[in-house]
Amino acid sequence: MIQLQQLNHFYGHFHSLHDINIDIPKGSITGLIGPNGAGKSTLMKILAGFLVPSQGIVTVAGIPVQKRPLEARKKVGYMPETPALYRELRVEEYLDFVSTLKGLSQEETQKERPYLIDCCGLEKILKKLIGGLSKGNRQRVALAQALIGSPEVILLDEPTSALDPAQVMDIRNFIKGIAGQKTVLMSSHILSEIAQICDRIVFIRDGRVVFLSDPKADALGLSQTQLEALFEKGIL
Amino acid sequence: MKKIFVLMTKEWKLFFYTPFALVIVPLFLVLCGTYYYSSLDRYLNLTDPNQTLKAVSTVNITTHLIIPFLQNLLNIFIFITPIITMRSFSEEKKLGSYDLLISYPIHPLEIFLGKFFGTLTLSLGLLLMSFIFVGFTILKGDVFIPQVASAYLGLFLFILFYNAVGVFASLLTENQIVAALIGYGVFFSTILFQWLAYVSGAPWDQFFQTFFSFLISRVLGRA
Repeated sequence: MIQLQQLNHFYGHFHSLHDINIDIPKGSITGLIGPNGAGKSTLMKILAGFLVPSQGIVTVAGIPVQKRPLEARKKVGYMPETPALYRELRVEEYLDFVSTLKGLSQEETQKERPYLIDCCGLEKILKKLIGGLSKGNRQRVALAQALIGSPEVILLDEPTSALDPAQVMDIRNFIKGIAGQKTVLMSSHILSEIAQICDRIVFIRDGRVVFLSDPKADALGLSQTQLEALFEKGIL
Repeated sequence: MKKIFVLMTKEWKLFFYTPFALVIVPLFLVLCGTYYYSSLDRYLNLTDPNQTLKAVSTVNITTHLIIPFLQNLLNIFIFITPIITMRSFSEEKKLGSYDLLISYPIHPLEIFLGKFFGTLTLSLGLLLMSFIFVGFTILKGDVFIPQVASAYLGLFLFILFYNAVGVFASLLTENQIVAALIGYGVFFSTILFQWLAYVSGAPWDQFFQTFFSFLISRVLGRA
């Protein structure tokens, strides 16, 4: 579903991603883990289509992102790390706005809306101004906008950062719930979270993939604590 | 087309949901009122029969009241347009909502046109408000309508230019103030070059008339 071949990216002279080769199968939940500045968000932005890679090929749902960006973006729902939503709009207005930009008709929007409200828990905040929402509720709205148009690929950049424990559980349950239906790539720097939710894991450090495997500790012959220790020491 | 319209209406909502509109609209009307009052005062002085030095018969309400008012209106738009356009891209880039916007299946040109028409219609809304003064004068005086219409057409074309430059400047930077300053820089350069072409004799007048358009084409070509 997502293929990255010999992907390299430069910010000026800074080589942010080095020869990334990843193949993410359809319906999987893949965790992208690494320390701050590892290149997780850069990778997400490239997949979301608003950063053009310096070298390499990126394919989403069989569509080359660089050659047919608009078609590729239709297949992708992206939730950024810090969702910058329009504070002056109401949640309902914002969802309508995104639906139109994603090319949905009025009927499609109306048909999809109950599902979004239900799965993201938006019922009580639908008429509220985004500027007046708590961070957790804004995160829900950001998740809802990513799901509009039922994209095949969902990119979640640190989806649980700055959420309270109950909200973290909600988001995790939601991601588990869509397993098999959607291909999810989520980034995080919390290994336990990735281990709980994901069925594949990609470790990234200094722009390089250092490890790509099943997150279950048994498969590595290491406990999760050992894995975390290796990760912290920079071995992984 | 639908996407452009949605982006345009979003610009309106952001304009009217913030205190921005509460500052800009009254400021524009106050400036219009002040300029109209000064034009009217000048016109009344010219038509005063006690002022024997003036050739009262050659003074008319269109040339000596409405046209000076509309000329001043152009100055107001030079002042106000960068304030309207400065946030269009700069704010989105600074807040990060631009990243989200371009992750949707929408062509960058559609985004630009949505923003451009959004700010353009706001400016045209202000231009329409200025018609309160002109309309009142038309009702009360013998105004030569074609001359006023052509003046408004000229203003419309200037507003098109100012908005295009303002939105383009906003695209260049994340800082709203810098975006506004770029806009002011371009607008005042047009005035400066016009003035230089006016005050300098041949062959420099031709040079200044063509230099600015050359400069703009080079800058846009590079961008």
